[in-house]
Formats: sequence, C-alpha cells, structure tokens
Amino acid sequence: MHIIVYIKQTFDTEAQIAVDSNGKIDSNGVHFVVNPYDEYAIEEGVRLKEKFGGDVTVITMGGNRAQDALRTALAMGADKAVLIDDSALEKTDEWVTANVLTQAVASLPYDVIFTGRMAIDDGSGQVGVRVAENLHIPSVTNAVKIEINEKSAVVTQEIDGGTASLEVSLPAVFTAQKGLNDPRYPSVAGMMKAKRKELKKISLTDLGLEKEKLVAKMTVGKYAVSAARQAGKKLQGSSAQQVAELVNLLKTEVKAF
Amino acid sequence: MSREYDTIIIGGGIIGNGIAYHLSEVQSDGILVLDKNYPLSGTSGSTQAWIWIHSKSPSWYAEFSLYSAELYGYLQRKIGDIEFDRAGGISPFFTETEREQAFKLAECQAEVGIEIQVLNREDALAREPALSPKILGAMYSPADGNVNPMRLVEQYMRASKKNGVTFEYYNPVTGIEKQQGSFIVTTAKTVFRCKKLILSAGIWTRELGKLLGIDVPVKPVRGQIIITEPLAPLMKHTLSIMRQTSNGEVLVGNSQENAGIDRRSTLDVMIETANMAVKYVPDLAKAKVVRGFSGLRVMPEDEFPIFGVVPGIENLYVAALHSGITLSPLIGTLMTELITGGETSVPIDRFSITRFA
Repeated sequence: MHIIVYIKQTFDTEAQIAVDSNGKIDSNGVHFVVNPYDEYAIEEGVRLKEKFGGDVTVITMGGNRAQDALRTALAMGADKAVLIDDSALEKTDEWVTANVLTQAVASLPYDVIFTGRMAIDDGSGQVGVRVAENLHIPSVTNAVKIEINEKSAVVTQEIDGGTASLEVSLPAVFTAQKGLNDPRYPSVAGMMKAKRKELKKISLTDLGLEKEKLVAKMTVGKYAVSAARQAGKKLQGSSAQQVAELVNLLKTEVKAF
Repeated sequence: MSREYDTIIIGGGIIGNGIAYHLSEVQSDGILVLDKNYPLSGTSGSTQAWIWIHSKSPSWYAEFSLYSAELYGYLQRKIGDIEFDRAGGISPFFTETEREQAFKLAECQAEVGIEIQVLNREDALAREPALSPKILGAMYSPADGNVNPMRLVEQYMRASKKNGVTFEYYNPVTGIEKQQGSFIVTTAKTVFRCKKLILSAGIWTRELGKLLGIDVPVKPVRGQIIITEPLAPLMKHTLSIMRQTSNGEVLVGNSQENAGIDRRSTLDVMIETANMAVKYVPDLAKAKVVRGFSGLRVMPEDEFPIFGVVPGIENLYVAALHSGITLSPLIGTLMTELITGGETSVPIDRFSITRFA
C-alpha cells in the first residue's frame, strides 16, 4: 500500500506570536514543530504501513528549516520525504498550495492520502479537500477512525454534535482529527534511521509547474494580534453584599436578564 | 525479613531517576529507587543544567549527546513541564586561533549532523546583544539548550510513581551481597532483595562498587557557580559559561577543581568567575550577586560515560557519568533497552566499564 502524508511545519504551540514592524508575523527566535494534526496523519500512515506493508512518503512545502519536520516524520517511521522548496512559493494561498501538492503526487503511486484536519497557524483546513478535488478522488475530513479494506475504507468523521460513518472508495484523502490515534514519539533508533532515509528536495520546475501560472488568488491584507483581555472585576464585602452586587452587575452591565 | 523488588536503582539523581522513569514505562512493577539523602541534594541539584552539544568532542560523543537533546522535547510532553528550552548555545571567542578552531569544529560536527555557525562579531552581537563588543566572534548552534533540573527530577519522580516505582529516601546503602542469583542490599533502615541492581549514585558509585569488589573509576570535580539577583531578560541563549533562568537569575561558572568531596565556595574562584562573567557580558558588572554554590561533577577517569552491564556479576548494571543533564533521557532509554533484554538502539560497547580493566 502506497501512503502519502502531507505535513506542514508550524510554530510551536507555546510560541508567543508577534507582528513585526512590516505587519508580518515575526518568526525570530520561534521554535518550529510538526503541525499537531499532521502528527495524527503521520501516525495513521505508519500504522497502515505496519498493517498492510508498503511505504509512507511525507511531503511538505517550505524553506530549508522544514527539513526538520520531515526528519521527525521519518523518525516516526515514514520511509521517504519530499521537500518542495522554491523561492516562487513565498507568497501562496490554499489554491496554490493544493495545486503544488497535487502535482507532487502526480507521478507517484498512491492508495491513501492523509493530512491534518488543519494547520494550527492559518487554520484554513482547505488543502486536503482541494487536493482531493484536483485528483477527482473522495475526501473525508475530521476523521477520528479509519478502517481500510482493500478497495474501500469505512471512516468515522466528527461532525457538529456527533459523528458520521462513511464508506468511500480508494484512493481517497483523509484529514486527521484529534482522537484518530495516539502519535508515537520518535525512538532513538528511529532518529538514527531517519538520518539515512531519502529526503528529496525539489523545485517547481522539477514538478513541471510554471510559477507564472501559480499566482495566489488571495493576498493577506494585514495581521493583527488580538487585543488583550480586560481584567475582571473583583467583588468586595460580605457574601450577601457580593451576591447583591453580582446580581446588579448581571442585570445592568451584562444584561443577562 | 527483607523486602523484595525486581530491580533496585541506587541513586536518585538525574541518572537514577532517568533510568527509573524509562524503565517504568515498560516494566510497571517491582522498581525501587534508593537515595542516601533526598534527590537533588547532590550533583543533580547543583548545576546550571545546560543541554550542551556543539562543543563536545570527538564528534561521535557530540552526536550521542544530540540524540539525547532530541529526546527532551518528547520527554517534556510525556512527564510534564520541565522548562526545557531549546535556546541554542553560543560560545564566544576572543582570538584568531580560537576562530580557526571554531571553523574546524564546525566542519567536524557537520559530518554528524550538528549545525554550528561561526559568526563574526557583528553577527554574534546581533544574535546575542548582551555579549561584549570585545569578542572576536562566536560559535552558535541551535542544538543546545537548557532545562530546570529541579523540575526535571521532580517530574521524573512523579511520572515514575504513577507508573508504580517506589522511592526510599534518607536511606544509605551499607552493604551489598550476591546470594543465589539475588542481590541483598542492606541499608541503614531495611534489608532489600532484588534480581537486578543498578548502581547510579554519581560520585558515590565508586564506594558502592567497592561493596561488590568492582572499581568504578569516577572522581568528584568541583564546579563553583555564582547566581545574580533576578534580572530583566538579558540573554536568550545558553552561553558557554552562563545562562539566565526563566526567573531572571543569571548562573555563571565553569571552574573545575579536584577538591575531593568538598562543596565549599571559595573566594578566589568566585572572583575569577565574576571577572569572566563581566568579560563575556559587560552589563553583569552592575548585577548583584545573591549567592554561590558548588557542585561535584561526576568525572569518569577518561571523562566519557561509564554505563552498561558489569561483566562477571550477572544482573549488575552501572551508570556513572558527567553531563548527566544532557544525557539523562538517552541513558534512561538505552539502559531500559539493556535491562529489559533487548538490543540497544545505539551501540554502547565503547561505554563499557571493561575499558578500564
């Protein structure tokens, strides 16, 4: 079974987000991690390989430092990694990303494609489904359980207020939601092996794409850090006074009743 | 009557606890950690707690250390906040000779996947503005970092206890005997019996070895550290002689003395340390020093870690080493693989105690 996993390197979940003087997000001194939802995707891919045999190829778009994310995936058990690095990809949107990632698998055999349900930085959640559309194959988002059979899969998907169970034909794209599995930590042996595994760097030209045809359809106007929350109010006095004041405030300020 | 355990680990410092925790992930019952005092009262609690990679030599040792550093991020996710900070490390230099050495080192370490950038003065100051303008340049590596040693040991212990590990404090070992496949460990309070025994008592490992007739060639090497009052954020990286904690205190020191088991601080070394601090970071001249402390490094005879099985005494293991903070997760992982009978993920023959025979 040939398994593809798209991943993205994102800010560490604990990173302090700051906007620099040019209105761009300041990545200075920030640590980067594999997008947490993509970790579920990698884990699912590796488990599938362990069950059915085959190989897992991880693919990402990004600069040199994104290699670290690929190495982590290789240390978790993926077999091959592809980094699409091109200066023309500095300004992209989901449409560009999906087209590039689609092209990246055009010459590869694939039965299943996994990715995270969204990246925690831009939170768009579009790329997986756009790729599926480009490839004319089904997609299931927010998967919390995936059972793969030979030519089809039964997937439990998280939906508003519950879950839905779907059956789809393969190949298909699945986006991973928290709860799909418990991602393993890379072992020391995995880290050592990861150093010797294939990590291919390719450009748009290698993919047969022309940058002129990949102009983003969306541009970001401005980034802003959300305003700090206002401090709360502390009520004083005896319990009875505090309750009276609380009721008063709920009435007059919160207008709760 | 003796109390029975499968495995007893003597020494509850950073190494003993690292082994206990990693072992408890795969073997939930029958592990006892014995400490003559209380964890953190010795070497593990008196350290700057760098996770230091880039200037370790030879390269194979740096690479070994790197694997451990990479494990820290995952360890923190497993056992909870240990204030692990991949701050990056900076080693400033002041002479052309040192610069040449830096380039050579960068070349060697690149071969094992450790990135070192040899920065000129401007770039070094841009990266770490607190540095003295009198430096000629600096090595920078993203591989290094630091951790809070108190939290690390506490979190190890908490996670181990959750996994069923038992701890005994203030209970020094007074005798060890091997009888019919079991170790009889006599302590000040109790007699214990176990199948597997691990000696990981830092500088005290040599004394423990003697009880079984083996020589573990480690000696204490004193390091003196001075601590400033909490300062506003001054430096971002772990510098080759100091670091600033997340609370703001700056810890400085890199002295090495053969002073035996003596943890006093001495005025001459404190003066030397303070002068060096100001040479690296001039702003520290204005800082108030609040106290000093000493720690006794665990220094093996050839300075490289001693760990693995002890040939000749079945089920006896040893782990005594310098750079315990840097290496703790890796030693814990490898010792666990060894104790549970599997193969180690990294070859460990070169660390065997037999090299001193």
